[in-house]
Amino acid sequence: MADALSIESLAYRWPGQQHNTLTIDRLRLPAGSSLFVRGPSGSGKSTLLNLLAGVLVPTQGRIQVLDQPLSEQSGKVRDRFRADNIGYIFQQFNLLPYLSVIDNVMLPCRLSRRRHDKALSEASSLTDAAADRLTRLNIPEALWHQRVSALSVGQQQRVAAARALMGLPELVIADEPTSALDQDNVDNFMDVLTGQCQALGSALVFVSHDRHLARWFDQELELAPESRTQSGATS
Amino acid sequence: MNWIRLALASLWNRRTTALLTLGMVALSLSLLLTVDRVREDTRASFSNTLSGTDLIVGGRTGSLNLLLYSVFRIGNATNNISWESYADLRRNSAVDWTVPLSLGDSHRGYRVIGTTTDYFDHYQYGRNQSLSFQSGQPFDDVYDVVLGAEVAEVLDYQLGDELVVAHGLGTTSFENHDDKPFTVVGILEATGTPVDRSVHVPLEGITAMHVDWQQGVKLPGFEISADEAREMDLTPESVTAVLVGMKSRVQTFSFQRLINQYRAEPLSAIIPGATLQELWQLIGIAENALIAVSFMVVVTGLLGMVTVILAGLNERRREMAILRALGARPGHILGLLMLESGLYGVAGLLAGLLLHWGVIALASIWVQGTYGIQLTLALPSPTLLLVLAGFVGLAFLVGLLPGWKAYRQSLSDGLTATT
Ligand SMILES: Nc1ncnc2c1ncn2[C@@H]1O[C@H](COP(=O)(O)OP(=O)(O)O)[C@@H](O)[C@H]1O
Ligand SMILES: [Mg+2]
Repeated sequence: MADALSIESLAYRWPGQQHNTLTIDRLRLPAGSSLFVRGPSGSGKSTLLNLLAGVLVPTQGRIQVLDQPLSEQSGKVRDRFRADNIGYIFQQFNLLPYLSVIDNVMLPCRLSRRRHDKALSEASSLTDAAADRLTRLNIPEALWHQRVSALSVGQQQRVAAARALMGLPELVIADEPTSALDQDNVDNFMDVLTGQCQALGSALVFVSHDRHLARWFDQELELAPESRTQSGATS
Repeated sequence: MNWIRLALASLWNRRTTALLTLGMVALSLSLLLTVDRVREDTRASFSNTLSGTDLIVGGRTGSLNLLLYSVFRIGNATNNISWESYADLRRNSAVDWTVPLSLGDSHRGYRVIGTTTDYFDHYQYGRNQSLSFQSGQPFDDVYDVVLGAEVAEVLDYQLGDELVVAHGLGTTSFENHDDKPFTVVGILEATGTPVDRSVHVPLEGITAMHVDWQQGVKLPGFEISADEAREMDLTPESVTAVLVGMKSRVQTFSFQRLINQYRAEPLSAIIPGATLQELWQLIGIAENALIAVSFMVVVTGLLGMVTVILAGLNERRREMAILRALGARPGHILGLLMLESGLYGVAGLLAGLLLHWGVIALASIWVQGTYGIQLTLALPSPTLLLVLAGFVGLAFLVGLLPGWKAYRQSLSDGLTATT
């Protein structure tokens, strides 16, 4: 099986800036394993995730996600690839406030045929598939048809994780999803997220400035401030 | 796809703003629809009022004026036709029939028309429809009266009821011909024309009412009772206008010329259709101005809608970033906003139509009563339907503006919108 991720001599520089925001010489993440990306604010963590998700293209170097050479593909192909293969979790406000909890969870299958079909291959309906994910992420059934605003921040983040896991994406990307949670919620969230990614076979790239979270992951990558010099990946 | 559902849910989430915006679009469209409907119905109503009459003859006056007071009961005659001239033109061999009209009195705001029974035989409206009676028959006696449908209904008259005619045309005239009451002998079917609002009496009745009057005032101490008047010669001295039917249409123009050059007294003869055209030309200017204003209001509505969407974009960066993360292309974001704009257009059109029909339904009773114009609840005219289709297309198109801005925004934000 292809690696979840492989990067070679990557550099990214935001237009109009003096220095590279981000440089990574070499990085490889096997399918289904997890990577913790750590670095202080401004070190380019979100920039990296945008590159992995195919929203940005590298200034130099090569990114391959699954078997796709993302850095060489058109925007349309990259967007389609993201819809089909990547589950994304933001720091906060992940959910569309005008859809119910369960409709939010089903959304990836509405925007991607592939994830729609995959969801239906493991459950008899999209609703059942969403129910499975919500159950895995410990969201009480009473909340499934609520408005998003009825949920606590911790619950919202778990719903976002449930959504990211809909339709069995090969890669889940999370951009500091715990920074708005209190400590108990962080542990709880980390347990279910990493546990379910493993159970469902999705690779996980997780970004945080909080070094204590490293223990949940297979690999770790540290981005230095103003990351001109770059440490490699360790395992 | 499910973009329509998303767009609708997103709009519903902002429903206060969305409904106000929709209201603005709907209101602007209903103005256009209503102005156009009133225009169409006014024309139809005027065109339907008289048919089968080849010429209208009156004292020398403007042709429009003659048409308005003789047929539409609008305005007043300045000159009459003497009975001799009338008798003379009736004798002309080219003339098939004549209907003399004598105007100037009223009953509780409804105009009284002195005429002959020929009126009920020859007056035609719409597509050559003749008058028919819903009850009773044409007048026979001097003091008989035949009511238009609306008069009978509004004033609740039945056959056999008596009524008194007021002198002059005011709604509340103090001078009544109350010594000579008339008896209702017939009620006409509704026609949707000014006939419905007319009170018809024999020419002799008009004369009888005025035998003891001079120069518009009642002669004091010189009263003639209804029965005494009946015995007198009640041939009128003059009539206000005459509807003329020719034996052959071909003779209309030469007879018209003859009347216009009539030597014994100055007369005017008009062809109703031709004069109606003059009226349209006159009204057309005002109509076009109204339509132009309505169009501008519709455009203003569209601009307002785009402004509302544009103003809301910044707050929706997060929404766009979520959609992008889920795989939406920037093109989808652009499409989503065009869809939203288009939905405003479609929903605005539907709401505008409903509003328009509501307004017409409410106003039609009053308009019918006040102006005698029958407003119809109908689909817009084919031309206007095309315009409306264009409007919906335009509503989608103007979505390009916020769509383009959101497109740029979502490209530069990527997945890291902060709001
Ligand atoms: N949209 C943007 N346009 C220009 N420069 C940006 C943009 N986003 C981030 N940057 C630059 O990249 C640097 C790294 O930002 P980011 O990747 O968000 O860091 P982190 O997520 O680690 O806090 C920032 O210091 C900023 O200068
Ligand atoms: Mg960040």
